[in-house]
Amino acid sequence: MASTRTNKLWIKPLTAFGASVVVAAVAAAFAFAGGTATSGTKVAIGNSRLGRILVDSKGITLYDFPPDKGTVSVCYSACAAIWPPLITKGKPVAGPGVRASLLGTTKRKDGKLEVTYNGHPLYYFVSDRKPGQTTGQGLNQFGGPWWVLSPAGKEIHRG
Amino acid sequence: MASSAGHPRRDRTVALHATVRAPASVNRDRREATGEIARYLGAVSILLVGAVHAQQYYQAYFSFVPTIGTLFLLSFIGAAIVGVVLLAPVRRLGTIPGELILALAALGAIGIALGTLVSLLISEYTPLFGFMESGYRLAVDLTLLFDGLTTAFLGVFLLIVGPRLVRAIATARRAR
Repeated sequence: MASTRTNKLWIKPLTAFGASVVVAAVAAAFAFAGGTATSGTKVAIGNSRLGRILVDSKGITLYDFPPDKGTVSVCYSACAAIWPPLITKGKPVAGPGVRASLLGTTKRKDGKLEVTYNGHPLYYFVSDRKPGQTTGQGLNQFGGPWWVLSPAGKEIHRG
Repeated sequence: MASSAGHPRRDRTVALHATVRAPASVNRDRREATGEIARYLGAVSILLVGAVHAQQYYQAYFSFVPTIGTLFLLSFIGAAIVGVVLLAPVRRLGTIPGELILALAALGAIGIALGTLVSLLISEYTPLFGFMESGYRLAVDLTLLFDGLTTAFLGVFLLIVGPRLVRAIATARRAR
């Protein structure tokens, strides 16, 4: 009898604790899903030694790769490790000076969406760490040269 | 044949000793052989780890990647050094110096392999020195495989050589 009463004493606090854990988990899941599902990557214009060029929201330079087949990227494996694609989880957002009509996306083999501009899939270069750096400009790697893009979406070949 | 005919009792004793000692001796020989096979396979594995890093550094443009590129080059150089030492006939320098060099080389190789393995797995999920891997490509798979083999083979080698080396050093100290 005594043991039954003791067991009953635990039921309420245990139920309350269990319920609060479930509520917290559900809230966290919603917050996580809401934070990642709809955020589109921002593309902006930045200043560099090559003039005004396409950059990401932190000012890091973006490049295009002429061997890409239209909007279809051919940069995978080691190439994608050195030249990481600019990934978005929603419709890309145009910053000041960026033409929203030129922005688009292309689906990569792993199902991720890569941002395109004027039909060119966009990439970072692993060596660019600070805004304004263009250390990948003109490098011939993985089968072709890599170029920065102007706000009009044209390749800049100098530098 | 002559002794067999001349000293039957002594022969029986020798045969008895041989029967009693054979299993221990055979076990020791097997352990020695296993240790040597593990040493050579471990050496080849760590050399392959180095080869993959060299290929990535010189041919896959990792020389352009800050910090990680330098670590690839250092991994290649370190792997080449310990791999060559593990293959070299260093026991000619003497039992204790030779085994000590081999044990240190094996430890170094395991250190390189585990360091590479852990770094690689981290960079698959989060940037490491600003660099993040792009999935499990062939070079990554091969490196993980050779890292695992290096650790396994040279771990076996150390388990066999280590106790023997400790005993040899202790005996040498007592002899002084």
